[in-house]
Amino acid sequence: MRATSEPRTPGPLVGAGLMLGIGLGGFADGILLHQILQWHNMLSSRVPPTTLVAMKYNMIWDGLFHAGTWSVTAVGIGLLFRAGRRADSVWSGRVLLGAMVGGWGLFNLVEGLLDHQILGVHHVHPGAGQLAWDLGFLISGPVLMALGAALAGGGRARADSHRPEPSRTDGA
Amino acid sequence: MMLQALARHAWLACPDCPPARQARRQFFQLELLHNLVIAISPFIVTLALVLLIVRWSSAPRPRRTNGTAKRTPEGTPEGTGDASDV
Repeated sequence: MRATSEPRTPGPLVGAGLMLGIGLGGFADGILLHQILQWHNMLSSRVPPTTLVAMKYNMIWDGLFHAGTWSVTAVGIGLLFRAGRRADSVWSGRVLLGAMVGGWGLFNLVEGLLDHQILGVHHVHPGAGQLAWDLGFLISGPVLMALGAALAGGGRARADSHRPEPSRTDGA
Repeated sequence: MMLQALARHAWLACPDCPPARQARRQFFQLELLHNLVIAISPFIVTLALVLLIVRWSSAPRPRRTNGTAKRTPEGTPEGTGDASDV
């Protein structure tokens, strides 16, 4: 039970949402681009997956990428649980969803800049038109971040306007 | 059984067959540390940015009112509860 005039911070929920967005966005990338389409393999510019050995080599690195996204998701679940137990934390579905979408975009932006543009260790779809695919991936970052910020901002405003609330059922 | 034998024959489902062994060998021999740094760096940079965003979003901000909040004689909203009010 919260005190009615207790100040609330979105920090814990935003942190959890960002981590979950990075993790789940990484899984979406890994499952759709790496595994189903078989593009975007981790070290495909260094060892192009044109032979069985090279494919298996890239598969090991894709597995490590998935291990990273799994770890981030696990941390996100832990942070979400902790935010749920904090009386001073904003509790809003919109803030959580916005932070998740923003986290996905943030990771796409960082990954796109570092791996595709600066280090050049792999590209989204190597070959003809790879720059267009890379730019599309890169642009998806700020777009998702803006969408997430709008969602989270709206959610925070709603959570603020619904205060005081006696229980955790507040916010959309 | 037949499918398994076929896959084994094609060296696809055999963890100890030459391609898998060769890929594992390459994994350890081909600039492992350098590649690990490359694989981890987007996560590290993103997590650093997450910390910054969380700190920024936790900072107190001016309370918005919906026009129904009671105001003090000085004109500021009463009982908004944000740290900025303190």
